[in-house]
Amino acid sequence: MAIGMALLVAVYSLKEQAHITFTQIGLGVDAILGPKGSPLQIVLNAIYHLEDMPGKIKWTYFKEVEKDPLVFQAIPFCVGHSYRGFRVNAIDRRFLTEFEYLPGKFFSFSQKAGGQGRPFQGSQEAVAGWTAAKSLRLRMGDEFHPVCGVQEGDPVHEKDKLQFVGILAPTGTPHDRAIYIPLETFYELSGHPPETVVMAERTEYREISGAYLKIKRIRGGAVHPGIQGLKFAVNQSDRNQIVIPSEVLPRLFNIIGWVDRVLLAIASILTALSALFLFFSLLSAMRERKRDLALLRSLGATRKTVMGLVISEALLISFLGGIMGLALGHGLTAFGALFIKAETGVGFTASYVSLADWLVLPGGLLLGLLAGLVPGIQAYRLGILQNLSPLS
Amino acid sequence: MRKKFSFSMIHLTMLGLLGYLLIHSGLAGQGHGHKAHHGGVLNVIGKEFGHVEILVREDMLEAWFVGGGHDTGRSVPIQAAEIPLTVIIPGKGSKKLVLKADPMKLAGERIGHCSHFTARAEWLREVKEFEAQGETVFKGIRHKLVIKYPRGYDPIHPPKRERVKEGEK
Amino acid sequence: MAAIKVESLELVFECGKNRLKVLDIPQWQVEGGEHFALFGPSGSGKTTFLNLLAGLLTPHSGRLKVCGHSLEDMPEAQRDRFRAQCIGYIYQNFNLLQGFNALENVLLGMTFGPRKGELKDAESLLNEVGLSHRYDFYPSQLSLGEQQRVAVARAMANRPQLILADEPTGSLDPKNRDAVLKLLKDACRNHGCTLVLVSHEREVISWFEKAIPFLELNRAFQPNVGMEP
Repeated sequence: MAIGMALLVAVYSLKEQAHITFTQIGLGVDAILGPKGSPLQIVLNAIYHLEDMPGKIKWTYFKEVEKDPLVFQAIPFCVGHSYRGFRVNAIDRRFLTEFEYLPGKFFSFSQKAGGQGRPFQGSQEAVAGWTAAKSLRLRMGDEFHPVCGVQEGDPVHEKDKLQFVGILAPTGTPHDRAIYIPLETFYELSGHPPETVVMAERTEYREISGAYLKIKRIRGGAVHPGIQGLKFAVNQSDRNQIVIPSEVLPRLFNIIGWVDRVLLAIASILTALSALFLFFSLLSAMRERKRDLALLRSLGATRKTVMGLVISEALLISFLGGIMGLALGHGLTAFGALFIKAETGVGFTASYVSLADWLVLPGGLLLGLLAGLVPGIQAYRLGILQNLSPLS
Repeated sequence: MRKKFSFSMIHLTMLGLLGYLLIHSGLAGQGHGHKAHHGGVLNVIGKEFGHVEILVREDMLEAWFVGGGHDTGRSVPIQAAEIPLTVIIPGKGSKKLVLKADPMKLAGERIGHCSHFTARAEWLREVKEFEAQGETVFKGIRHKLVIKYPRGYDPIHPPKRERVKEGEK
Repeated sequence: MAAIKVESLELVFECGKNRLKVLDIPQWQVEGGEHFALFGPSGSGKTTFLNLLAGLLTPHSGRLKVCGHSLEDMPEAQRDRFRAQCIGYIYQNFNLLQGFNALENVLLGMTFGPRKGELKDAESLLNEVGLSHRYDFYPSQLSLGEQQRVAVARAMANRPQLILADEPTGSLDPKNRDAVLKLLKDACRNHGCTLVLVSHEREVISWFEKAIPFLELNRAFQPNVGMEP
């Protein structure tokens, strides 16, 4: 029973945290301005540093969007580089200094918070997210050559050496998993095709991968409803689109929702089977203990008392199973959280209290009651004389 | 074998019942399943050639010309720079209103190739319901525009209330 | 006051269509504090009679008053409480709970009674029966004589008014038999309990001044009497 309940707790905890993290929070990004293509791909790349961007957008178009009265902040970025498995994103410096990645939270380099150094200033400087820095054992002043691509074997910018001047304090978000360089550096790296080199000087030819958009708020802090109109307008253009992460990710969850449903089904079956096992164990134990219960009756215990004893035993077993399930479940959650953080950079916590935490004990007690009911009734109906040792 | 048969029949019956309920529930029939992307109401043009989405906010009326059927997320630019409308307000007679092209720059529009129109009038602040008529060339064909606000206009798939009314007639 | 008063007591067992009258006792009385032995052959109804006295069975007819309680019409739950309060029962096969040690078995005897027994009470009873060095021993670790002593201590645990002993020395050798009998009688005397003991052994009966053949008491066990179609 403990194992089944542990699975229920772990699955529910990870599912709920994933839902909150991947759908509701959006990691500070109200909308992503990106090229035409799969909206899901754009969200996965722009926010979770997975997949590739399906194209590029013009800098001039980005500037038009930035001017829209609804847009509060627009942070352009270019993707496509990496270093030892971690994505290197060229991004506007304001991302490190002004971007609110979660309500009330800004990136920090303070040592007290676990960071080091400062935001990049020069074009040969870089900043690492906390997870990237820890995995790569980076120290301030370390230098690296960015890789032109995200696959193994992609060419290295041998002539370009960038230096780490800052490590971000941990945020518990996918931003921890990336390395950040100045936007202009993207165009200045050697070995790029001529059309990219031109972009360094001539912004009218410049292209970017996309931009994080923050939209103005209305009363109550809600995103201005005009975002839909803005999205509609941009989506009519030939090459561009606006993707709203909080609209896209729930659809993803609906598609892959069957995964956690299957896991929950397995966990539920396990729990139900263990309750059944408990029932048969109690039933079998009743056969062995008829004499003992008859003896208790002969000593003055009433029918209700012996019935209560049997049911209490079932309740106690299921209660203990529930407690163990809770403890084990949170342990499993911690384990799962490690993998999720390694793959997506998103930090889940083992101490999260999900719906299952509230249901496990009452549910377990109910199962215990059901399992103990028939043996309890048998104890109630027990005949004293028939079950005591034969007498002369 | 008999038990298995009745078990399957029960399942089929339940599925059928569920399907029937779904089809005849509000869910399935709601707005014929078309989305108004700006939060306005859709009014069919022609035989679902397209739609004009109408939204009234304070003293401003906005109109977007969009595709037909499920294609309401795609704008359909028209040549007209202005579209005069006759607006009939229940209990208050009729008024004139002129929709003027308001190009969405981010969509690359301009006057003469524009899907977004606006009109301002103080009396719009007080209006809760109206019908409007006009005319314009849409997808190369001249169409009558029938606008019903806030119910929307769809003669092919009228809202439930209208269907019931027709039945009563 | 009489500890036991029996009048026109009858008990009938029904086996299918047959009815078997197993007890037919016109009259019997035992005064409080008396030690009484009932003897007779197996099948004479001695155990059944003890079960009636303990409230484990109810008579078909007649009157049965034990320790001031009329048992003939008493509901079952009330009889359970009566038994917990007033009766201590000692079995031939001890009937100790194997998963409980000596001390715990004695404490069990106090559990369902009105007195909330304490550990020191249980220890005192075990001391009284000469088992001060066996508190933590489980029945499987005790000799037969020691097990019966624990049973005696348990029977005394709720300070009963009446001790019923059904062949308590049936499983014991002569030495242990005499030790347990002495112990039982001393304990009953010290605690003021009435004692009714059932046995078929002459050596046991000889310990009692008041002893009666059960066949004299129970008219049901006569040849050709008590069998009804």
